Amino acid sequence: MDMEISKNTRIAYAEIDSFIDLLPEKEKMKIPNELVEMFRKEKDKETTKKLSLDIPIEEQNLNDETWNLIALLYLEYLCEDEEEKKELEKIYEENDRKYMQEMKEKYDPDKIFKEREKARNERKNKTKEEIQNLPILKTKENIIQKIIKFINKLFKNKNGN
Amino acid sequence: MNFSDIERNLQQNQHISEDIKKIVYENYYDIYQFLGKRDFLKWVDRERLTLGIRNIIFQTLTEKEDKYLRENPNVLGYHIGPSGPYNKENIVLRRGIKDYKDVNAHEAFHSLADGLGGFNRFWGEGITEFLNKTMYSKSTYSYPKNVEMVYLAYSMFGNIILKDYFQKKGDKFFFHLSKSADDERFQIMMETGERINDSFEEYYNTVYKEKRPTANQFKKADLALKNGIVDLLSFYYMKKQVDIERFRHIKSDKIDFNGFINEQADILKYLKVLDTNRKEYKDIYKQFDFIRKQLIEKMVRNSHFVFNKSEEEQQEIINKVTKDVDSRILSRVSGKYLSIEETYINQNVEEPYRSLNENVTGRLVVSFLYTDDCKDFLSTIRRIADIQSATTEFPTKEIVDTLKVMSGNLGNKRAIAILGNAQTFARNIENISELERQYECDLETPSFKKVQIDGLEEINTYVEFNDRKQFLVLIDKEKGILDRISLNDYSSVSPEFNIYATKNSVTNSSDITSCEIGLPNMHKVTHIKIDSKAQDIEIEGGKATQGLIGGVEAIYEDVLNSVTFKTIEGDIQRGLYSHGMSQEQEVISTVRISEEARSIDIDDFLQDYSEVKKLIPGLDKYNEVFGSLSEKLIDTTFESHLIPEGAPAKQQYEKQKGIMIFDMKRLLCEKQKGTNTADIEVLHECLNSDLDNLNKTVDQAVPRNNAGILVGRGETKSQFLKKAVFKTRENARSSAIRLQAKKIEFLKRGLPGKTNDIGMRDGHGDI
Repeated sequence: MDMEISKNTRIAYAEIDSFIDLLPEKEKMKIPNELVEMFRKEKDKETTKKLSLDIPIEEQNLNDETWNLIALLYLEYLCEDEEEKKELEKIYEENDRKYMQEMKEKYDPDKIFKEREKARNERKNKTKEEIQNLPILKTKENIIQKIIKFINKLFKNKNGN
Repeated sequence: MNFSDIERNLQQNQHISEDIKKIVYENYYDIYQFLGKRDFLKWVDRERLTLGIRNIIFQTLTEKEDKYLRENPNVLGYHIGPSGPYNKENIVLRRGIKDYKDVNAHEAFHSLADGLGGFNRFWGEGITEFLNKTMYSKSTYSYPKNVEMVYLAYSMFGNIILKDYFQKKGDKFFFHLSKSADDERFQIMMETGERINDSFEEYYNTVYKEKRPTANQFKKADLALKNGIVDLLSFYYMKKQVDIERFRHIKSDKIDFNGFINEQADILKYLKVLDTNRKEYKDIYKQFDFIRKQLIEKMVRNSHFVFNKSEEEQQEIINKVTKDVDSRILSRVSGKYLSIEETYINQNVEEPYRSLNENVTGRLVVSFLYTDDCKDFLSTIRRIADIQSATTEFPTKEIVDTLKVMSGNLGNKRAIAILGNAQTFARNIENISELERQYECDLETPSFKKVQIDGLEEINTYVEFNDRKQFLVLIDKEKGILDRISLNDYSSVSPEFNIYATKNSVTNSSDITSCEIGLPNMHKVTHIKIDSKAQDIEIEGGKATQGLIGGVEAIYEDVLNSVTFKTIEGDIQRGLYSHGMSQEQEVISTVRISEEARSIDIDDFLQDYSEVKKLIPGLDKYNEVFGSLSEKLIDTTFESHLIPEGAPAKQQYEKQKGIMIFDMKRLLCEKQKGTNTADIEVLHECLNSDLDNLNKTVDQAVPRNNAGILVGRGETKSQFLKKAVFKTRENARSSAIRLQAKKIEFLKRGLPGKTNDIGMRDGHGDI
């Protein structure tokens, strides 16, 4: 399987690297060095944002992926309470279910088709209306056209005569 | 490149004709092409060309017939260097020569290179006319043998001969070619270089200096030339061996056979041009043949081709490669080919090359790092760096594995941090050894003082005292670059560091040098006053160490110390060994309520220090770095900057800190000795009491409101984690978490991650 590491993921790695830096020493030691080094190596080098203890974390505008990484680190390495772990896993499963439901609703094929059909009909009607409302342009004859017309007229008169 | 200054100066001079202006202009352009931008800027600066643009070249071109020209009817023109500071440099041309363009160009090149560019007359005239010939594609030229010999040297060593000429370092030509050899080979190469120069000088003196050389003298001169060629081929052989040992024959994962074919075809071509008597040159061709075969064998044996191959199989590969290379060179020399590509080996298609080129890095690492001659840290680092340069990919994991084999119990963290950038490390080692060799070559034994200039904290800076001259030696250990600028010249610059030094003209004594150092982007200027007699330095905006440090060896040690212990320093700054710092204290509003005392993981710190020290034998011999790291650790833990300056507690703090550093050094010694656990226990108790004392001093000295301002705003680290985890209850999803785990696994396996700027898909669903 070919896996792509997106810019977004790399930004999340930069944020998680900064997040780890702010953890209490005891917790920091639980995370394998190899993983910390990997975040550092693979992180987006243009992201200079650093997390701060001075601002509540929910106000630090973290990337969606960063929250998932925090959850992963917590479940995998930091949480020592099995009960809490189970509870969190349940919550994350539930979040997943809700997310899938939302996605399904948002991208339901029937709904999409109906909406497209509706939009197309609306566009059609609008175009029709626009055509009907087009201004009629009166073309101005130039001198040559006038001469041709005049000659034709003469011929018609002659034939008629 | 902006040539407007040259143009302006040319326009100002009304006395020179357009064609000469053009020549001068072209000369500069050519020098730019030969030197490249970086060296050209350096060259322009050293010559202060932007100030005067060497007006002498254009203003002193005169056409006359003087005594010298009358006595030497074959000479069309000549160049005289300035014999003193007030004597003008001059170019004298024979009157009435119709096409004096060539002569002018030749003499102008002499003028630009201050005569012979530091080379002897044979090389100097040869290179000057070589440039003239190349520039105007001339079919006839002066000093034919000299020029042909330059072509031969150029085909062997490339542009370095021209760089040295324009930078007036011709006397260092063989030094520059030998400098990366090991000591023994370096000596032999330098001696060979001297012999080459002597032979060619002898040729020049006989052919060009004698009024009417006899047949015997010509014969002797030809023999000298031949001896010179024999030595030049030997020198080439040694130089190539050095290059091959450093894997310089491998470029982007492949042995550069095609480059070798080009080089060999060129050498053969110029040997044939020089060959006036096939019978006498028979030995030379034999020698050349031998060298080529030996080099091919060496290239193969010092490459990934030998991985997992028996001696017989290796010999088979060598035979095949020799046959292929020889046949290509033959068709090149005989001209029997339709396109140049036909004379190349296509390693992507042809066998056995194609299959032998698989997993080059792995093969090189296994074949050349896990060997007996690579047991000490320095040679390992150098070899890692060489392999890194030769290959396109060198995973850190390989480095760590190597290190594990080498020193067993070393932790991964330190190994990755220190060895992860082996190339920079090796570059530093090389730069300093090159400087050392240069001093040896110039028979100089300078002494140094370490200085610290504000704004250049990250750069190791030394003032060099060298006879009557002083230099500023700059080493950027992160980038692995070194430069040395004179403090006695009126202006000198280091383009690498973007730093200039300007000497102030008036000082009270001839022993005193006063100069200004302009820092990057000209934001800041530092004044330095040096007393060369007392070897004393005063710096405005910086400081100098009191005592002189030893020779280059001390610089070497100083730089290695700062490079190797950098990771520990970083950990200290991040507070990894410290506990109870203000950010960890429970604070409500402005009052600290936690009773948690500050403490230090002394044993962890000592262990990390000892592990790093183990890497390089002889590192931090006198535990000076250990002392400064300990000081930094204590200051960081106790946040000494919070104690008001001048307060009595500050003095108390400094005193207690000194005691603690002393105790830490004692503990280090005991641990290194390793047996007496009782003594270690006692020292642990001492250190605990040191920590208590410091805690008391700091607690009393740091104003509560100050601590509050600094600390009270932030969350504690554990609260921060709790809140973050709580927030994941809203945002995290199991499938996205699994996806993140897969990505991590994928990256940990070392597979290259492709960057996809648009790909948002992977954060929002299953794969």
